[in-house]
Amino acid sequence: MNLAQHTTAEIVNETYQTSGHPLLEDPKMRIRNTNVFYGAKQAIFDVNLDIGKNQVISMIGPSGCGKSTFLRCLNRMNDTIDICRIEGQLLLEEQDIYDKKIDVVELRARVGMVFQKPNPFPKSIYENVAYGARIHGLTDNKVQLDELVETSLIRCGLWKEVKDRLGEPATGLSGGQQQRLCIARAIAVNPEVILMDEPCSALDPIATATVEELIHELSENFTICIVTHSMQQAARVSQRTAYFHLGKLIEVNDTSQVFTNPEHQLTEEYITGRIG
Amino acid sequence: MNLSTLLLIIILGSAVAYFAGYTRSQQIAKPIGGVRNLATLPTYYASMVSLWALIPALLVVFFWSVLDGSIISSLVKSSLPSEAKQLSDENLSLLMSQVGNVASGIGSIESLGSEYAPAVDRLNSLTAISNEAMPLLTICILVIGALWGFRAIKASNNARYTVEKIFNMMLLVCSSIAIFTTFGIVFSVLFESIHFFQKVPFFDFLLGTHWSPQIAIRADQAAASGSFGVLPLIVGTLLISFIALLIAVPVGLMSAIYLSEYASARLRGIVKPTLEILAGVPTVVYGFFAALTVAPAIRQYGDRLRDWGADNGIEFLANLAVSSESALAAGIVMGVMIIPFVSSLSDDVINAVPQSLRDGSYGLGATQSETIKKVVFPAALPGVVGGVLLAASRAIGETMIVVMAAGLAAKMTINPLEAVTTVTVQIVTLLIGDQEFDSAKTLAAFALGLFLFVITLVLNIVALKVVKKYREQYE
Repeated sequence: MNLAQHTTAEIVNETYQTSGHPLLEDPKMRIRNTNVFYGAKQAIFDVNLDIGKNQVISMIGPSGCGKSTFLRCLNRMNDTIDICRIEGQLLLEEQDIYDKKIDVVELRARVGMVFQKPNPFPKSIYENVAYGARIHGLTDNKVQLDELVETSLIRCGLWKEVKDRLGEPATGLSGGQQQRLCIARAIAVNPEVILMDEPCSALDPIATATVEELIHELSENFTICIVTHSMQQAARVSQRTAYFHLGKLIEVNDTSQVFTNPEHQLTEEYITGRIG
Repeated sequence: MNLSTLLLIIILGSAVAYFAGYTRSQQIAKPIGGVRNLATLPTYYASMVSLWALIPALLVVFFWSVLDGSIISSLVKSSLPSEAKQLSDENLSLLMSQVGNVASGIGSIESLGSEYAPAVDRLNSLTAISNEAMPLLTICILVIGALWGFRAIKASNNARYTVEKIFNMMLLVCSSIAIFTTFGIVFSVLFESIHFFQKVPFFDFLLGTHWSPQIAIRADQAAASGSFGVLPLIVGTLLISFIALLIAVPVGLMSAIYLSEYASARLRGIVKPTLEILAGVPTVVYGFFAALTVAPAIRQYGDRLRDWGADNGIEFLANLAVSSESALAAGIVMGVMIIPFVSSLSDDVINAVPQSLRDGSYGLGATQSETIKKVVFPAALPGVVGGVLLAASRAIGETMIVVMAAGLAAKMTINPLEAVTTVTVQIVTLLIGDQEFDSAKTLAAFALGLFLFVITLVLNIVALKVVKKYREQYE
């Protein structure tokens, strides 16, 4: 009861300060004063956040806090939703991604995405990985394409499991394999940033462990933003953690600090399990 | 007592049985502590009693009405004079109908011959007995049934299951009506076709290239040999269907893609029902549109092209001949007619492709049209094929447009500018003649019907298989 009053007060209060260290020097992406609306309803309130190069940043928070909405702003996936409106400045390498001159298709090639539910195309395993490369003309011939498919699958640790059945439908793979295929499909386009929207929520613990290991390895070369419901997962895979609450970015800090010594009261309540 | 009065009595009787059952079950419930101590609700007991009254009585009426005529006539036949029993089946049935006429007061006994008087009397008396006996028996059965049901009202008897069983049975009977009708049609067409193939060899029918079903009535009649080669009809049917699909598939598919992927919800809400209205226009309206507007227009353009070709010395254009009834006209109009079949079904299957697949493609930097071409359409393809096959069976079965716009000439040609005819049109023309019913000409209609049935059946089976495969695609 006390808590409900507390959170209502948060919504009414339009100006707030994000605790911790949301800003960085020389980041990959810069998000400034960003608001997101679904029709008349505001989903994201005045978010300021920097996403560091070749880092994993995880976004946590209770259901409906806007973390997925925020993630989908970063490669303009929300463009496909008619009633969604975005205000503010979102920069990728100092370039405004909502600028009229920006080609959204090219942007999505630079900022790839992996979804909550594995969504392989109903094509063969090979065709799934080759899809992006074919669209963007990344390879000149079959040999290069074969090579690209192979390296992408090797990097996702899927090559050994599927090399003998590349021609078989991807829908025949297990859930964990499908999700790793989706990651392979995303990295085959060689993006700069990979957005992951709860990539393990449909997977069993063993598959989750494999994917988490993969995320860790990929962070050497890619900037990764991951939305997760699991605080353990955030603690395992990310360097920085951002806590969202009812559309507001409450706290951003190094992951170890968020989970051991949170600055904001709401963050503490969330990680100790009192809200969620 | 006539049949409608009897039916009214049956319905009233079962209503009375319902109320009696209801009251009775309430009575039983009272001493044992209310309705909750019965095995089931009073309405079920009431339904049980009324069904026990209704169904046996209706069955009696049904079977009596069906069997009444044949039993009486077989009894009457035994009192015909002995020379009448020597008659052939056809003449005997003719005689029986004359006897029936006399019995019901049409014509006099003198015109038939006094030796038939016993038969007429017998018929009259039997009919009178039957008319009296049926209502009596029915009402008896009604009462017995109601009493039987009434006796079964006990606190321990769960009438719910009895009602359930009877209801199940009624559903089964209703659904089997459709199945038996289909079987009936198939077998009647099959048997008549067998008669036909006794007169015309099967392979002459299947592989013959000449269709001219006139049979000589007199021996010296000219040009009436009668030949039954089905190939020109098939070629005509396939030609027109092909032209129709050539129009309907691209237009239908593209409008489906537009509606499901690009159009706003509001536009879709207006356009889709409007498109479906096309399917509701009677085919005869399409037919005269084809015959009076499209076919003459095609002919006009053809003539202009020919004149232009003649003026400019282009030989193949100068020889262009466009018939005023053409396969092209019929095919185009039929194509427009079946657009909604393709578009509506395709729209549904394209909509059924999960949004997650589209998101996946957009997330890799694909444009909307790339996503549609490479992900959405291939995923929807089997369903789309199902829709196209449905449209194809519709095109093959279409008659009216072809009669009016493509003519009746059974020409074996794949030139869309000539008049052709189709299987369905020939069935119509064969059966509206004044031939006797067992001539090869009339029987040919059944063979064509069977043939058409087999073609559309195969198409439907293929369509069903494809749709089934589609269901396994991304689930």
